Amino acid sequence: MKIKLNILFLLMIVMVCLPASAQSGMEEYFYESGKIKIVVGVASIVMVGLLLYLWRLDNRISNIEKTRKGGKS
Amino acid sequence: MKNWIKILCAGLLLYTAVFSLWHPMAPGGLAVSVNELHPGRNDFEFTGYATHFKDAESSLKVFVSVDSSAVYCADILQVIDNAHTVVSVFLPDTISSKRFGFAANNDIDGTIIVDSPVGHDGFQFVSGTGNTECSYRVSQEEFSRFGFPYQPIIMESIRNLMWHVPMWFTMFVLMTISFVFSIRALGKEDGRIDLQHDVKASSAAAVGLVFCVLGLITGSLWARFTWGAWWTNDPQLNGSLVVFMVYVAYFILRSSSPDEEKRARLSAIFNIFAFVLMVVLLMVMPRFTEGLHPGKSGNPAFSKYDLDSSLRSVFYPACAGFILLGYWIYSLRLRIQQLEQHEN
Repeated sequence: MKIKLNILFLLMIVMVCLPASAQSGMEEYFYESGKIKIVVGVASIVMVGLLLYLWRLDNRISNIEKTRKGGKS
Repeated sequence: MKNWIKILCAGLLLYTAVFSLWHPMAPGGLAVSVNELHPGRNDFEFTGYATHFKDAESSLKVFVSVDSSAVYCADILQVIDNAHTVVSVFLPDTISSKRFGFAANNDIDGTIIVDSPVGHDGFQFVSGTGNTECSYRVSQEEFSRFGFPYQPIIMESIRNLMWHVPMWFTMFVLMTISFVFSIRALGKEDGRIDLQHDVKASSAAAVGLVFCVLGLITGSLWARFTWGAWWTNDPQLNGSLVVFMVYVAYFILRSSSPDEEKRARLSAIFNIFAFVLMVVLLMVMPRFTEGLHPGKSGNPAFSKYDLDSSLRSVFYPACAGFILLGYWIYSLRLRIQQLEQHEN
């Protein structure tokens, strides 16, 4: 679980560094050429990945909790 | 945590990811290629940002203003592209002030202003000297498209507002949860420590610390692009680093004692002081000191000047989304810790 939470942390760092690096002189190129759509796409995929990962983790924890409760009763 | 809250969180964060990057910037004046103005003809290049000089060439006008009393129209020599135009302006020997301003106007962008000081040579200054031949509108309301406000230096990096600030808000919320559970852990009637509340407090502090690190990373990157250094001697920056170290100390303290009750009691007391220190360092101290953060001199927060409605439309959902995300991760971590406790 700890390794998974570390992966989550790394994903979040990648995610938040994208807009923080916006002022790098490349922005005019990205907007004028329409490549910003690719940047937005990558950011969205990372975000969707992060959220899906959390959702899956949540479900797995719920399953373990249910198994524990079942085992006790 | 209920499923609809998770879906709401996902929706808000996706909206933030897309629109914080996709929203266009409002046009603005970037620079003029002149260091010194003199009487007679002055030729220079006017550079705009996200402007439409070429697209609106027929309506393009460039002006040089002197204080607020006189405006001199420039002749457009050449429109190079949407962001660059070469102009020539004739200035008289006698003007009213040393304060020059540069502006351009067209039908698409409205009026944009370059706010950079330039030198002067050979003028006679007589107050009240005006010029009525040429006039321009200084209002930027003519720009009707929806875009993030253009601000010199900050420019495109304003997009980081939707990430950096919500990270800190989320940290505050989680540290407040941690603080409340620390008090509740100590507040048992029989004088014993409530270990369940202690676990909740440590889980919230752990996730809050992650958001603190993310806030520091995004802040440091933003500082590099706007202030020119990864770290500056700003009270808010130094305060946030101290807060980070204090909460790291909280976890070191937790790992120092094998006795559960003793560890819980010590860390709960430490956490209460850590929270008070965080409020003082991040919310009180910056209001009493000068700093580089927006709204200096008593107000470290974003004000009407910095935060317009286009930013609010992404910033508020971003805050809500990240706070929900923080709470979601906290609840997961808490459940993992509770499972581990049961296993032991």
